[in-house]
Amino acid sequence: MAEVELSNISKTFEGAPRPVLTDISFTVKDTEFVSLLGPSGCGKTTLLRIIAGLEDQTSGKVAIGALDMNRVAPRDRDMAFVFQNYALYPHFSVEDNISLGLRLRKVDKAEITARVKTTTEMLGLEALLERKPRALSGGQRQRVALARALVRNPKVFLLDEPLSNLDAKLRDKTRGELRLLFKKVNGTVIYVTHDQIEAMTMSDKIVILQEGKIQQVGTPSEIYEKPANIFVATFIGMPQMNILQKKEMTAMGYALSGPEAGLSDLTCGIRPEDLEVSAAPREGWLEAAVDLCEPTGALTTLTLSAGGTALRCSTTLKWPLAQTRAWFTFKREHMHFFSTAEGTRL
Amino acid sequence: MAAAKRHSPAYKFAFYAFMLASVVITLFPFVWMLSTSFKSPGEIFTKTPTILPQLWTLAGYRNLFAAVNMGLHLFNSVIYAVSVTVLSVLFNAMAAYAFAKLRFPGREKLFALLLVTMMVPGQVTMLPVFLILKSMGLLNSYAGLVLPGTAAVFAIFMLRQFMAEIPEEILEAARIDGFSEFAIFWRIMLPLCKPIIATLTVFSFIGAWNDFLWPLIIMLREDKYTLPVALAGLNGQYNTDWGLLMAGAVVVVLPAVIIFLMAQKHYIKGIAAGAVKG
Ligand SMILES: Nc1ncnc2c1ncn2[C@@H]1O[C@H](COP(=O)(O)OP(=O)(O)O)[C@@H](O)[C@H]1O
Ligand SMILES: [Mg+2]
Repeated sequence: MAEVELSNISKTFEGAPRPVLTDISFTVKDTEFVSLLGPSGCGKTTLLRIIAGLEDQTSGKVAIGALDMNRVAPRDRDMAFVFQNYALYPHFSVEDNISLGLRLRKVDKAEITARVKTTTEMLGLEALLERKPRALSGGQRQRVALARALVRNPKVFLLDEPLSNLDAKLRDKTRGELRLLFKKVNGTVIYVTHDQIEAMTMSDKIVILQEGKIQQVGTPSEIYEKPANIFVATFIGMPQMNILQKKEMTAMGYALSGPEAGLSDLTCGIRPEDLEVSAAPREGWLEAAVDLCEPTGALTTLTLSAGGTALRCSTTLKWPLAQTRAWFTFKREHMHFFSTAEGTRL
Repeated sequence: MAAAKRHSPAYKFAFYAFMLASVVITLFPFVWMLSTSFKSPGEIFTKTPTILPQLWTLAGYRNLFAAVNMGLHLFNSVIYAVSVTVLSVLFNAMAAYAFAKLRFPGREKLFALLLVTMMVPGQVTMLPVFLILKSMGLLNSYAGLVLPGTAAVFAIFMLRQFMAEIPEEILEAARIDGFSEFAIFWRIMLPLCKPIIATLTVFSFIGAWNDFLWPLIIMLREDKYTLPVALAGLNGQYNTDWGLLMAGAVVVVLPAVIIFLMAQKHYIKGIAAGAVKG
């Protein structure tokens, strides 16, 4: 049973004016794959390092399987850490890099051989065992780093942007492989990334961080469908959600109805993919100018301008490039409502 | 030499002529020492000296081994140089590791203090060190001879600079993997510092091997003299037998040259690394 529980973790680096992390609490269940997602510099790595015991939190508690980890050294936490730059031992062979952790833990020799064999086969590293890290490609190093973690069969895997140093194509391929790999070994995983595609496609649960504070914890679909605030709403989704003030809605010619219509403190959000567009006028649809048309193959992104407000819209239509007028509409149930002052979902 | 590539033949000629002259000037005393050690006393003082002996003789070496107990002094020198080298590399590396990678209060201040001591010439501290060792009863002992040489600020400084370049994540990976703090030092830090350690090994071995003043001061009885001290005693005592003296010099220089050649590959890497990383 390897449930990780963080309670009220805060961290202020010595001499720093502001905290890097504020009051972080969430739980990672056994065999769950949880992503920490947030923009660069929001404190993801720091949080992961605190969980691993490489950094001390200023306050709060890390528990694994109900055991308080606060005074436990990193090597006794039974976690494996995959570093962003892999941090392989440069002077040891691939095989030593993978097996040293077990040897230091005095695991039985035959058992080590067996585990190294399964792990390296799983990751396709059999042919590279004698090499030194400097003789490996980026993708191979990344797999050695993974193997070093997997072979230990730890309670928890901590991964810090393990794909960020790979080229786009390899990253795309590795994403799915990683997900399958950790499912296969029933791993409990905390996965740091700034890439929403990685977080959305791989995770059971996503924790969204910004400026050291949790913005939302939820499944990928919860986060996509019910963003807790304007930050999450615009951070998740490509192209990003259109955010419109109440008076912009009115200027566009849209009449708000329902309980929100009476609120003065109101911001509306509508995802580009929830807008319907047409190149011909339609009854009851709003009219807009097409400022920009960006075809990407299956989808085309249009930047519309209605009542002085810019709106982005994704459509599967083959948009005629010469077409400069568009008609659009959206369903009320696709709209997101936020408090302008608080930024929170209503 | 890479710089010379693009230059005119005249420049190249001047460049190589200069380099050649430097080599000759540097090597000449060594060649002269070597050649004199094989010359007969009569030939050493001829009016027209030749570079190579007309008549090769081992008389200088025979006289040398007859005049002093070479085995004993060689043994003393080896004890001194090897102990200082091994211990200083170990202790300096440990100190450097602490200064480079461990977090403790006052680390930077302590290191600055250490650097300040580099400004104090060794001769100034020699007397106090002598008195301390005397009060410890370590005069005329190998321990007293070796002890002061087992820590060197310059070496700590060089090692710390080198270690600071090694990414923190490698040590953290080791910490998570189950390495103890000492294992990290021994199995990761030291092997990664091989180039700089080779450099410092050469420095420290040659320094101790050639050292004259300290062994002279601390060793009171002749049977504890290191080679340089013992050989210095021959000067004048036998009306300066140059053949013998040069033979002694050859015996002293030889191990230093061998150590240098052995460590050369790493040594030059260490110097270059130090140069680039500042
Ligand atoms: N050792 C440290 N000392 C001081 N500040 C740090 C240290 N490590 C990270 N920070 C600061 O903490 C913030 C969060 O860093 P980090 O956790 O690396 O963010 P992320 O991984 O999300 O990009 C950054 O502003 C960074 O400058
Ligand atoms: Mg980071």
